[in-house]
Amino acid sequence: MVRQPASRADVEELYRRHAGELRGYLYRRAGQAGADLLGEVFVVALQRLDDLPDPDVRRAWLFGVARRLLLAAQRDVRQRHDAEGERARFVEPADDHGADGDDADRAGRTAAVRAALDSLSEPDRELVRLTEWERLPIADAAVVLGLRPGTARVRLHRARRALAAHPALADLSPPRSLTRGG
Amino acid sequence: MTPTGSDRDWSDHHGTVIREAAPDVPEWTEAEREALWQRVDAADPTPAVRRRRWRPAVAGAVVVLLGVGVAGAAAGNVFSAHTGRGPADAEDVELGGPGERLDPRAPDFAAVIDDLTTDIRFPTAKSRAGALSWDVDNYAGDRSGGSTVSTGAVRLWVAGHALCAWSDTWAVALRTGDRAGEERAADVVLDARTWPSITDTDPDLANDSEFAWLPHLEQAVRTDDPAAARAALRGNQSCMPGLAPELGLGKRW
Repeated sequence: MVRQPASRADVEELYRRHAGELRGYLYRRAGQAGADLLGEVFVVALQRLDDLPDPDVRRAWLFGVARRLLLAAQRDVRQRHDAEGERARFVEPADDHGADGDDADRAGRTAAVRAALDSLSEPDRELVRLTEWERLPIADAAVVLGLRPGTARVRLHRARRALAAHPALADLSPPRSLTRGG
Repeated sequence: MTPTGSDRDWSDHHGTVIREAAPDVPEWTEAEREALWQRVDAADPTPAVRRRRWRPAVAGAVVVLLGVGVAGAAAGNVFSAHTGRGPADAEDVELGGPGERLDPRAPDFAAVIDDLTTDIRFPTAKSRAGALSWDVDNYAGDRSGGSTVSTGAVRLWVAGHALCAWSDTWAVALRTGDRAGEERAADVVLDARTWPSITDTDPDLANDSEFAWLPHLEQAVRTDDPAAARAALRGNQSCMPGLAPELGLGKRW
């Protein structure tokens, strides 16, 4: 059966359904400069009407386009400027936590998680973030990263083990008797 | 994703801790959402074809992206650099080069370029990796216009990078008295006019063609004249940073 090309209405429907989560993804990776790429994701979709993937993969495809645009934008910035201020446009957004009480505790936990995530390779770190922060199924995260699903599962498994064993994260964990499988 | 039994040391608590560390995202109003869609909907989505002279401005730095690109290859069935579209007519060939139009924004673009250029020899793996990553980076940066690039153009430019690297190898060998190295590099340069990556796109090597400078480079090599080689290479933008430090063309990546 010949697949019908997508229409502009299809892309608008994708926008209505996924723009919010894609904006969250872009912002969490690169702050406002990342979120500013959201429109481009859907312009790319409009440019690819003739070969958009099947509907069940389009969400993952959009995340893949967004990731590609983020990487390209980060390279643009690095190429064009050496200025610290310009480079700083594409960094993860800072957490705006206060210095007392619960906020201080959250800031400490966030720093610990960041330290643990930073110990992973970039693809593994992104696998964890896609599955935990963006709540993508592992098969979709595999599409975003250009991995085979089986490879992604193995990598995620290893990444999780590495995170669980990381001292910064281990300090935040409850006693093993309270954890699943512990 | 729910942890599996095989993630023995992973618990729901770990997942919760990770998720709580996600940066907060500012609110997005319905008006902002609607306004953005209006801008997207008004954008001209027609992809443009890169026109000859195709060479874009030389970028100042290189980021090695092959890892990203190779990883992206597995997703090629979803969004691949291969568009399946060729030039529409003879004018299109003249303006954009021969061969299939590739989409530089696709995640497998680096892997596709790598595959397309396996027959183009470089003096070292490092110089090849640097050259390819430079091109990948260059085209990926051109994402806003929706440009495509032809396989013929890509192969021709990578051949230019290879020639630049071989010329530099030749110049080093000449300076250091490495006679065997000099001859080997010179043979490669003098054989280049038979490379399909060059002849497919520029069989004439004359007048205003893309590789009209190659005969000048050949003459420089025949006469052991590095200054003339530098002059031949200098104007064609094949020597991106790092490929020809001996010749004083782009001293570092």
